[in-house]
Amino acid sequence: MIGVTGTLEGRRAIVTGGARGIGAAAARRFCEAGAQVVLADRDQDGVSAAAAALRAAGFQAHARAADVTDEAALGRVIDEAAELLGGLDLVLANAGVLTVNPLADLSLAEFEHTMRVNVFGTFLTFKHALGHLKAAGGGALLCTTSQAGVRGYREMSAYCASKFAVVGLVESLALELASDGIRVCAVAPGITQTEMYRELVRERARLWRLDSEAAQARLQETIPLGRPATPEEVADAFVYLASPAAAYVSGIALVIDGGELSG
Amino acid sequence: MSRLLEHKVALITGAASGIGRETSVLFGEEGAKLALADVDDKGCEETARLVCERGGEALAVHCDVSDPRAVETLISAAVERFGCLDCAFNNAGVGGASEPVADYDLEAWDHVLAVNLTGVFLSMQAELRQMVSQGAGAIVNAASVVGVIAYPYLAAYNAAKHGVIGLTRTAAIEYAGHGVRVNAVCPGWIETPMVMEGGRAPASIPEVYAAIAGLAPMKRLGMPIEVARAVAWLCSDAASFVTGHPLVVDGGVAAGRERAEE
Repeated sequence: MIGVTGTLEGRRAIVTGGARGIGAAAARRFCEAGAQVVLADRDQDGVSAAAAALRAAGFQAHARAADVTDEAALGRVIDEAAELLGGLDLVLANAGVLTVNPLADLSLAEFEHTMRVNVFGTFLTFKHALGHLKAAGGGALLCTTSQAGVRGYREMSAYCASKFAVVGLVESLALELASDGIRVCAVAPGITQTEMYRELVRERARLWRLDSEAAQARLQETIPLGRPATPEEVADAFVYLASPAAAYVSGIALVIDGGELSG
Repeated sequence: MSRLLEHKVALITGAASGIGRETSVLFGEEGAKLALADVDDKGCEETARLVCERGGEALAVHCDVSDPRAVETLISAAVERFGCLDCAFNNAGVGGASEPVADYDLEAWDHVLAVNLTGVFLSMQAELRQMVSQGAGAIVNAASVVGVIAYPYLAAYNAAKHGVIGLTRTAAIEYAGHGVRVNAVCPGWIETPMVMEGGRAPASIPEVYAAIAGLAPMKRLGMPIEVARAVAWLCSDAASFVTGHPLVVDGGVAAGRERAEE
């Protein structure tokens, strides 16, 4: 019932930001749990490779190129996904970008891009998937926020503002869509072994004037469990939230941070 | 299908009814060996019987979690019987009086705090000593949605459950380096004896049920099994990077205010 195998049997899912990292890991876990998945990403080659790897493992997976800031294109991809899978009951709005810069150096263009991908992208993904979930009689709208969507981090004002906003979307939509049988939840990962983490280390090394090894040690020293999460550990939280085991869970941000936010 | 808690040894307090009983049965089905505790011996033995009936293994122990020596004895009994302690669900709790703060009876306050907060503290002390010696473990404490927000007239219960979350976070930070994860589960309004039969107006009356259900965006009370599944997930290896988290299972209550006309 709660174990991974079979808990998402027959579910039809779309995952944005599915080419790598948390999105790719979640798509794989969804497949392992019995779902069929459409992976979407602006990186066409990356998302094609991710879907091909899933198909090679015997799963039903399709790839589509999609930029979540382009409403018309995103809407088409979501409709296409619903057509391919015969409907949609599970959505993971996971596409996101990282921005690290002090306020004085943070350009409007950077701030706007961060908001467009992380906030508007989540909003548009949910908005265009809503009709399909209603047609399916309910489902789950999931998204990726961050420990930076719960607490502030210096030089990360744009990223934090965007991830806090995602939590606001989740809490409001959980109320609004409960009567449609739609649950709305986020996962808030801490530092996770992904390409975005490598980017964070580079940016921190630049701002702190440290080599990357020292910057990485400094980033990890406050994690009580003493290491970053694996993408699979974050993906496991999405499987729980997507599954019938979480039928009474809505409007939450499930924190996967090795204890970072407790202190 | 592989079971979620295969070969784990788990302790569950408050196992005689409601969420504790349902979690015990689920843990048994998921492969855990169980030490079950409650002040209600008859209820606790019945839960153990339900676990064994489904092919599980369970030991029922009388324990008042507000008594330090009783808690020590409980953990020793569990370890003696099963050899170790992998998981603990510190779930024993009482509802307490429903009065405005200024009128809240001190004895009633003391009793709720003794069971719901001190009981969790004492249980964790004994469990942590055992788990640290093993170098691994997972604890889930029963908090509540009123550990995150407050309902009026539940001063002691609200304060105790807020306290449980504070304790959970403290232990999570202190024991992460010892391989022990500590989380809380925060149920909303659940169909348990505490809600269905407790208080001045039990939820078994249809109008009262409708009024309580209306507090949740999902417009229903939760079932004990829905909380049990969250506890099992937190105890399992699927939650290996989750510690210090209060996992809310409340049909959307804590996300925002539902108004009557909605």
